[in-house]
Amino acid sequence: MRRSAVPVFLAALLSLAAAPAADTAREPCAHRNPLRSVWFGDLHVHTAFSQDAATGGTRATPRDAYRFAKGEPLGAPPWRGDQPLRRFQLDRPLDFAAVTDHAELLGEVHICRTPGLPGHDSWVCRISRNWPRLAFFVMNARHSLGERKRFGLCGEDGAGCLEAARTPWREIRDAAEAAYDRTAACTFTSFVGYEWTASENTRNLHRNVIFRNERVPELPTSVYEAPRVEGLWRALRRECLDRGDGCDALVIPHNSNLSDGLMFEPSDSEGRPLTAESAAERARSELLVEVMQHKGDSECTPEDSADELCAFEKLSIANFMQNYLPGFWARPPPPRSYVRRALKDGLLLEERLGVNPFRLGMIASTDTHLGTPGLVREDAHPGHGGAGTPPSAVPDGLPDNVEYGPGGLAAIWAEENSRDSLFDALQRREVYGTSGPRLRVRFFGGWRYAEDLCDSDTLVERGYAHGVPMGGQLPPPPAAGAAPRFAVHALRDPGTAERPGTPLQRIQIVKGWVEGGETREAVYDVAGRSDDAAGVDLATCTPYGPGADALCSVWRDPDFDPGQRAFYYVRVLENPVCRWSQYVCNAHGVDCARDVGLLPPSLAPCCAPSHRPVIQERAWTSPIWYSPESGS
Amino acid sequence: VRGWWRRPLLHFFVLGGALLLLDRQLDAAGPALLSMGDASARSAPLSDEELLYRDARARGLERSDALVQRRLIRDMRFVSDAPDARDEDLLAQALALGLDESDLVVRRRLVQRVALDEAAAARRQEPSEAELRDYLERHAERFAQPARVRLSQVFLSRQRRGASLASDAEALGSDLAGAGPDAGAACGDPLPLPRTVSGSRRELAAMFGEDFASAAFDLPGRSWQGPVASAYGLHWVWIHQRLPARPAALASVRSALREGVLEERADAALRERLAWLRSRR
Repeated sequence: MRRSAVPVFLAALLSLAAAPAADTAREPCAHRNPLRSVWFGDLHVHTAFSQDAATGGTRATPRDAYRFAKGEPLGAPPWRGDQPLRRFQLDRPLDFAAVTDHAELLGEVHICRTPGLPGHDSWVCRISRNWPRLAFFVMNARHSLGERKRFGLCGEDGAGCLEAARTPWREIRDAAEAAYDRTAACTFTSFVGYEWTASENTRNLHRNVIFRNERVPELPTSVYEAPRVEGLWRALRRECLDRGDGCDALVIPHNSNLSDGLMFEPSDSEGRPLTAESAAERARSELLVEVMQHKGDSECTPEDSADELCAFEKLSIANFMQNYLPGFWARPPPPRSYVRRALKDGLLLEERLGVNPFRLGMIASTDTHLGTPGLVREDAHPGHGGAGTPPSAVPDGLPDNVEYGPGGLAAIWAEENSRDSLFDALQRREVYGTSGPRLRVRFFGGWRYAEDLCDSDTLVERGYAHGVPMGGQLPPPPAAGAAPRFAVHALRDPGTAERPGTPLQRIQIVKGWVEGGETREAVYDVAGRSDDAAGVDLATCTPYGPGADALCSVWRDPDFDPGQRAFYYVRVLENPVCRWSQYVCNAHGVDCARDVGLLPPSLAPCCAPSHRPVIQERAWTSPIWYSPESGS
Repeated sequence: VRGWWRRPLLHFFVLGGALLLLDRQLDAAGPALLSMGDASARSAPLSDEELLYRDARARGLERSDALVQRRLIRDMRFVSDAPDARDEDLLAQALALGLDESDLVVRRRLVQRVALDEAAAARRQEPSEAELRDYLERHAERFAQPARVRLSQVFLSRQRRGASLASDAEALGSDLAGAGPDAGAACGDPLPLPRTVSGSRRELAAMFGEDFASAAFDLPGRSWQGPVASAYGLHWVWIHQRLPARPAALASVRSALREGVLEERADAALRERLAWLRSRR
């Protein structure tokens, strides 16, 4: 039988198409550590391509943001002509970053900023250029209220905005490519990404999408194409994961604290209770959560826990709308807005469905809207930059809502600083978040760790050899009556010559478990001191008291029950230091005994009873899970 | 006259007046943001912009640019007494009336179009190997691979030894004097950082602190040196190997070079065009 050559030719073409693109090639890194090194970065960064950043006066492009992450200075609003009146620079470059501009407004922003494009003169764009504060509210309120139709400026079917989005999306991809260090030095890794910005009646459901490499969808999936998160997951599967060319993506929710309990509901987006199938889809699609950033901490709340250290960088509002309503309207976020509750609910759902939909590793990032990834210093916080108000002058007083802050960093344990190595680590959840400092935290769980592991130089080797690192699942117990042991080590941030890192106060292990059909939690101090011997002089911001360079512990769970599913994560606390707002209040000579009631609005929060002058910076690791099934 | 405030005519005038004020406000305020992609036009003197605008008109771009066309047709449909006329006729009318010359948006679009056309033409051809090599040579420092040092270190913990740290370090130094690189393996305090590590200055600073990283690059090799201070205590250090900074291989920075050449080429093309236009005046 004679065979046609056409199918062979087509197959050859297809195989060529599926082969990795030539530009994915890179030199092996000169520094490769099989026991893994920690890399610090920021996976939540907005630039002028985001409407709420552009209306705030931000002009930094994605290329500028990557240059900033690598250590170059960057101008920030306000501007006098082409000259920025503020300039910022990292004292230590980052190892990696992802620019994550809002997918929804890439097109609209480009149209509003490019004279001549159809829609440039629409009422929305004119408002955007002239009354940015109003535009910020109008454009974001439409998203937040669940409006799924693009603005009129996008044309009949939104095609105008999709077309316009191609140019910024191409630029975002080119900027990431230009920033990625493909040499053996492996000094910097960039990731292509975007933010999917969905809300239900201003209840935040935002997710960042981070891609493994330069093989990405033709356009980002916005809330217009995928109003529900399941649609986002499906779009990513269709346009990326199932392509078979190496495209790979992570979906990372953030600001569950502003979701009014919606982010981690035990139901799908239509309100139907999770099934084994839908829980599995969620577990597959979302492996990580951003636990802390500019707009507060989402770990846990004192309203739902006896853990007093949950009272950390809490917002007093439950959703975005409450920002714009009178104070009496505000109410704190409900318990289900927090990650610890989700981790516990996940155990309960696993018991019922056989699948844990909330098996989430933890990172932190900034959510900067100034294009300044990693700018997390408390003593130099320029504000969030996304409030929609371009400052007309350098802020004289607090540059931002006093409840917000500089945000945190993502820490990744990976063999080398390359896209594949970092992305693999994110997928196995061998990551942790910090509220800013670069402290190093190792966390292993197993059954056979020697009690004197902290006195040995082989903690890391044995940690891997006899157990699992953060983000993993405990192997089956070796014998009846065995209890898991956890090896945890924290090293303080070395800081810089000018600004040494803060000493450590203590290490805690947070355990959540299911008992009698109900979730429980306990917090154990496992190393360091829990007294308040260390503190900070609020007038000078000089820290005092004892602290540690390193803390280490091998901790055995005293209450372990092999029939109870559980998770364990580590929280490492530094000694207290001045919070960013206290630095600003001090710089303006505020004396609350003298000035209370006399301060201008920009400084009045300094003396409000709710002001938090102190921050206890910290790290949160991804949990290690235990399931009775793994032991059967 | 009770209920006068309910009269539709009043509402009409109040709302109309408000809209008029709003519109004037918008026009008076002028654009607060600058467009992206026209950085060169933004920072160049006005005469550059004028040159590019005249160039665009000389090339008839106001008749061929789709966005300019759409804007002129839309404007003409608004002012024309025959708004249902065909697009072609409306465009001809707009050009005859000179709407394109008085419209700031059309003007900026035409300037941007010339700049974008130059950039696009410059980027159309892939950079040659010679261009990539030339760019690498001119920016060798930016792409240089940093110097690295491979070292072994023995750690003495400040936290563990307190006041005796310095004397303990001296004693350890005596023990290590004259010994080989392996002698340190059994000494010192535990630290979950590699005993033997290869790193650039930045990588060493991230692990041990800046003081240690600086010192490591100045120490002589093939003997135990110290004590060297880190963020955590004191160290004795054996330098095994020092690799100087070296230029990057072209293959490993190809995509960054490509981006650099294309960016440079687009800038140069625009500058050349402007110089040529200026020389013709």
